[in-house]
Amino acid sequence: MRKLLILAVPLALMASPAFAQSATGTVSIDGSVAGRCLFTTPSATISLGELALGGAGGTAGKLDTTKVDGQTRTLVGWCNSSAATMTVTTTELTNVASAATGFDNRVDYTATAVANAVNANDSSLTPASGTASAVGLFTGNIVVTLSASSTPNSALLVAGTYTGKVEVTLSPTV
Amino acid sequence: MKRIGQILLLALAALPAPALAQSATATGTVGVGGQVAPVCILGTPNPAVINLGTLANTSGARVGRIVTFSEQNVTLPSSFCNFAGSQLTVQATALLSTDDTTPPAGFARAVNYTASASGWAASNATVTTTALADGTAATATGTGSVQPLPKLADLLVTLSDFTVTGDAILVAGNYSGTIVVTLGPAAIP
Amino acid sequence: MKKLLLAALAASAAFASPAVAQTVTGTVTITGSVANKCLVLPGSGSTFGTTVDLGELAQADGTMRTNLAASFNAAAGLTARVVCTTANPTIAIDSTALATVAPAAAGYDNSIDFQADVAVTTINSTTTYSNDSAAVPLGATALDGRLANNGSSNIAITASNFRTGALTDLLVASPTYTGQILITIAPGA
Repeated sequence: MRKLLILAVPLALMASPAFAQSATGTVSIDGSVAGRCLFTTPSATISLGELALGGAGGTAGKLDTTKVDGQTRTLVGWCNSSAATMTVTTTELTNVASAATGFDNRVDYTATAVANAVNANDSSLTPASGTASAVGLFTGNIVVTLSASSTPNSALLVAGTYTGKVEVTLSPTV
Repeated sequence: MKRIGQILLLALAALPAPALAQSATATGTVGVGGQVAPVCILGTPNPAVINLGTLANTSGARVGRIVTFSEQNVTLPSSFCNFAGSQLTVQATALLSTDDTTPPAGFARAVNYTASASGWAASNATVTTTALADGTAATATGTGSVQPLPKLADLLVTLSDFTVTGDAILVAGNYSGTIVVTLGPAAIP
Repeated sequence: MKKLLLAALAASAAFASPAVAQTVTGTVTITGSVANKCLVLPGSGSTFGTTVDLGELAQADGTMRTNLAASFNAAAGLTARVVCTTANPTIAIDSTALATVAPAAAGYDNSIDFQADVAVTTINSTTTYSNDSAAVPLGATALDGRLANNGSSNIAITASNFRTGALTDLLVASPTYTGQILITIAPGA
């Protein structure tokens, strides 16, 4: 007796993965901000008026320190770097007219700048700039105040116009 | 399964980075200015008054006529001008009798003298009064040379050569004269 | 003897088939399955994306550059072609602000928020799904149909509303500000 076998032969398939596969997109964004400092109010002027004491006494014609000491002006600026520093460079008041024995034609003084509760100063007696102070990240006022005015020989001041300046430098890095 | 790696992008060329025209360091400037007014100050004269005493000899060959006086000196210490180009001027008025009656001939009511202010510039300010016997033309002025620098000095005013016009006899009375020393900018020629 | 013949006949009668050839039938059943998956084309990877370098983020006055969105959207590699085997895939978006670790101070910000917008084209529509970096991530959201499979990109990424905390905030200096847009397209149910 012939027998016919009927077979059901399922085709063996590859096993499908047990998880559902997602597509993932990643957009990375980068950028940078350069360290900078900027003065939004970069200049001011102090007009001291008459520098010499009046009258006819022993001090007549000599420097009136009250005209200089305590004078203050405010600049405005910012530094965006925590490593920012502030330096002051003070230039003495000078008169182009020549001095003579018994006279001075120069007034020295100290200027102090305060920003972000940090101060930096410089005296015009030293030609170099003052020491840099770590002012850090800030935006706001930089207050400049004059003090300790003097003349080299404590002598009479030559008549004429006296000019000097205070420069405050903000650097974003040391 | 083949993986597609991430595509790295190049920096944007379409939009330029903001141009930082200024450097990263910023400088703020506070200008400071003042002035000193030109001024001259004269020290207080010392002595402020010269009392010659008796002007006429009371005896001898020159009785009634002017005594020969030695030089009289007055200092004005710590005088100064704080500017260049100043000048000293001295204006002297002869000693005149307070009695202004015109004296008779042979008499005089004026004593002349020379005043010289020195210590200021190359040439002193010198003047000799030339009052007449009756006291007219009693005042004269002398100017020194220009001082080219600011100067601080003790000025010296020397009075000398006390004479009477015609060596006349001096009328009796009190006599007085004045010297005005002026320190100021040189006169514009 | 007759009996034997009958039996033989009977036996042979059991197989009543005629002398013609006999047909047999064999059946092979084929089964298979398609997994739920999403793939990135071309190839068959599962990731897409790019890196966008925005460069200097601050403008001359130190505040955030106001054209950051334009810079971002001009970048290449912000489109992709994703195919999913399922009828309603889902999209999830998680945006992370562009930030630096350097600390901020009063008047400053060290982080820039933005909104990521992903335009997805299905067989029914193009719909934009968004997530702001300041908001919670967008959870898996079903698309309105199968992702379009027409040979072109069906995912487009843009960004908008780049901003600091206050308009006047200055940006803290740093060489590394990083942010991210993470998009997950899943097969869904």
